[in-house]
Amino acid sequence: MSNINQIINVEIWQYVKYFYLLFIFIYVVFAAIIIRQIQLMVSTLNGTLDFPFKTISIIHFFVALIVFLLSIVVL
Amino acid sequence: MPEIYSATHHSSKLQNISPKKIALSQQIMKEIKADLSKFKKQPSIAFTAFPDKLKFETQESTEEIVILLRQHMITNFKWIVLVLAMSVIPIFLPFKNIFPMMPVRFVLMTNIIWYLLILAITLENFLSWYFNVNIITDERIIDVDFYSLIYKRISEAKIDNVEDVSYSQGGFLQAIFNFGTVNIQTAAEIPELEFENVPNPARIAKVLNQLKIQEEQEKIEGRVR
Repeated sequence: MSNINQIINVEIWQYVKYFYLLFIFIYVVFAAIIIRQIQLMVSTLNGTLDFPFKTISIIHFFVALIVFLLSIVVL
Repeated sequence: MPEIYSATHHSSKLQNISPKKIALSQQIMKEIKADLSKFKKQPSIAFTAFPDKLKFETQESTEEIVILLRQHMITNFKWIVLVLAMSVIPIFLPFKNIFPMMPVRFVLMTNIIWYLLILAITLENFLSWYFNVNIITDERIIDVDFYSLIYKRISEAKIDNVEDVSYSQGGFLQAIFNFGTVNIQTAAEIPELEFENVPNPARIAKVLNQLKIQEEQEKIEGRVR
């Protein structure tokens, strides 16, 4: 009985792993869209904070990418 | 026949614009600048008068931004509280305690995903607040709205087309922090422009009326751009 439970447990975490990977992948896509969104916004209204916004969006994208790679390694 | 003579006489009058009349429209602009000087000296992010280093997409070379408006800072309160509350949840209520069966590697990734989610909420709300602006120039009123990640809508009306300006302030927060909604009825394609939750709505309504008078004066002086 305990063996069956163990197998079910392993199966569940396998599914959770795929769910996590999918979620983080969607987040990477979202981070890429944010870069485009900031480009659009800055072209509509450009002021003194254009460069910081663009930089933050690019850093955010790379953080998301690193998390995705980390999740592949860790999970 | 007398009408023809009087009409010719009238147009010749317009061509010989007296320096005194030219000064009148400029005088109104000076009054507006003097009224808003306090806001230029102490600019807030939500209400900036005559911003120096700011341009928008469709701005003409001779066009000057009079006021740049965003929703009052206090409107961000809700999502800031949400983000702060979400940030401390894993500290007081660790995921390991909620799901004791969860392997350590999954606990680590759940924490990372949780904070990514917080980052996404912060970014989206901040960007939406910062770039959803209302611009009043000496020629036009522009309402810039970003509805979703990549969809934007820009509505504008010429100051000449402004028919009626009204504002409303209701509720505890709006009364305390002096912000409200300015409604602008226009004769343009978009019949109404709405500046939601903007600071100093009474001042904005006053400036819009002054700009309308200034624009009418410019027309009389024959200096229409």
